[in-house]
Amino acid sequence: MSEATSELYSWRASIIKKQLMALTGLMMCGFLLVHLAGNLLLLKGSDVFNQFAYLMVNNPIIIGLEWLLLLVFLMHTTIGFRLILENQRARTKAYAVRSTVARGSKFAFISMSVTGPLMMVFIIVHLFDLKFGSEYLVVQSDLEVRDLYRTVVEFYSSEVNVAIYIAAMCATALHVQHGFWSAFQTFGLSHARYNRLVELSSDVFALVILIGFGMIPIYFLLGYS
Amino acid sequence: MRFTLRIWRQAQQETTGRFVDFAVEDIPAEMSLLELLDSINRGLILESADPVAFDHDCREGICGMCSLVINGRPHGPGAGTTTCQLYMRSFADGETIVVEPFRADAFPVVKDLIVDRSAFDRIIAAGGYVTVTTGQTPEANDILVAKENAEEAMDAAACIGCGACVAACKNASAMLFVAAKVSHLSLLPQGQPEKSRRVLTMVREMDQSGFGNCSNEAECEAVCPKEISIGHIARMNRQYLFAMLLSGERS
Ligand code: FES
Repeated sequence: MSEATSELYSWRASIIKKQLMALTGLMMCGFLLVHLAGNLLLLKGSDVFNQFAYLMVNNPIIIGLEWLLLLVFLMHTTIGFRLILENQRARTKAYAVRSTVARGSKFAFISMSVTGPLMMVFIIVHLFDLKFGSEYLVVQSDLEVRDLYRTVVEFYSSEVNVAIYIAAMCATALHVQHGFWSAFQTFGLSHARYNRLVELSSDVFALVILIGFGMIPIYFLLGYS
Repeated sequence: MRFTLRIWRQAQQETTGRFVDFAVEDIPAEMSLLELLDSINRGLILESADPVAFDHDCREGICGMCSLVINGRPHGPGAGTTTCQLYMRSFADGETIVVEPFRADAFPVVKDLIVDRSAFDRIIAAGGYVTVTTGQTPEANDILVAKENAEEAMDAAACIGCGACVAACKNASAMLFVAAKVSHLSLLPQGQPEKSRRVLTMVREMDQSGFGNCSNEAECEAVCPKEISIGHIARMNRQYLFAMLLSGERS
C-alpha cells in the first residue's frame, strides 16, 4: 500500500521538480534586478560603468555568485526541458477544438515552454556578444580596465541587434509575468488576502524588466551617449 | 432547433478514431445534450448500427460519470455544471457542436466518447482515505472542527472525480483532483494522522499514472463543475514539501 515512499522517488516527484523550477526561477529574478541596476549605470557614462564592471569581475564573492548562477541556470533549463517533454507525453492526441480561459496566465498563448527556450538561446548569444565579446582596454584613473562600455555601445548601435534584444526582453517579461506569481503558488504561498498583491507584483515586475532593460539600447540608438 | 453534432467515433482503444457528423432537427430547447445523444442512439439502433458510447449515470450533476469535451470545453459551456446538466438552449440554432472524449494519455479512450478514468481510483486507493477503527459510532460533537476548516474541507469534498480538470489542463495534469482529496482530508482532524503519508503516496501514484505537471494556468478551476479553487493545489504543494522534508515518512 503506502509503504514504499522512497526518499529517492520524492525528489523526482512532479511537485518537487516544480518547486525546484520555482526556486531557481526566483533566484534568477533576483539576478535580473541586480543586472538591471548594473545596466542603468550605462546611463552614467563610460567611467562609472567601466569602474563598476571592473569591480564586478574582480570580486571573489561576485565570481562565486556567478558560478552559482550558472548552476541555477542549468538546473532551471534541464528540469524545464524535462517538464516540457513529460507534459507533451501526457497528451499525445490533440483536441480538434480547444477553448481556454487563461486566468492563470494572461498570455497563455505564449506559454512558458515557448518563452523559456527562446530566453535560453538569447542568454547564450548575449554572453558571447558582450561578456565574451570584443575586448577593448582603457586607462581610467591610473588603472587599465576593460572598456565594456564601448563594447556595449558598439553592439547596440545596430538596429538589428536592438530589435533582437527587445524581442528577447518581451519574451523575458512574459516569462516572469507568469513565473513570478507561479512560484508562490508552487510553494503553496497562497492566501486570499495576498494573492492579488502577488499577481500584481508579477505584472509590475514584468513591466520593470521590459521597460528597464528595453529603454537602454533605445537610448543609445537614439544617439544619447 | 436544429444542430449538426460532430461526434468522435472510435471502435476501441487500439483503433484510430474519426469524427462523424449527425444532423438533427426539431430538437426542443429543453432537451439535454445527453438526451439528444440518446435519441441519436435510438436511431442508430433501429438501423442496426453501433450506438455512440458515452458515460453517464445520475444525470443530476453529482456522480461524476458524465464527461465529454464540447466545443473545446470539458462539460461544455456554462460554469459550474456537468455535461448531464447541459441543455440544448445553451447552443445557437443551426450550430455545429463538436463532441470529443477527454484527451489525456492517462485516460485512454475505451470506445467512442468513453475514457478509462481508473487512474483516479488508483490515486484514491493510494491514500485518499482515513483509517478508522470499527466499533460504536462516535459522538458527533466529540471532535470539534473549526467552522472555516469545515467549510474549506467541504468545498474540496465537492469534487466528484469527473476528470474535467485533467481534460482542460494543457498538460493533462491531475493536480486539482488530487489536491481536492488531499485538502479535504487534511483540513479535518480525522485526516491528521495520515496527512504526510497521504500526500506523498497520492502524488506518487499520480506521477506514475502519466499525468502532466501543473503549470498554474488555472484552466482546471475554470471548468470544474464544482468550482474547486486552485488554492487547494497550493495547499497540496505546501504539504508535499513539508511531508518530504520534515515528516520522516520513508520506505
Ligand atoms: S451523469 Fe452524474 S454527474 Fe453527470
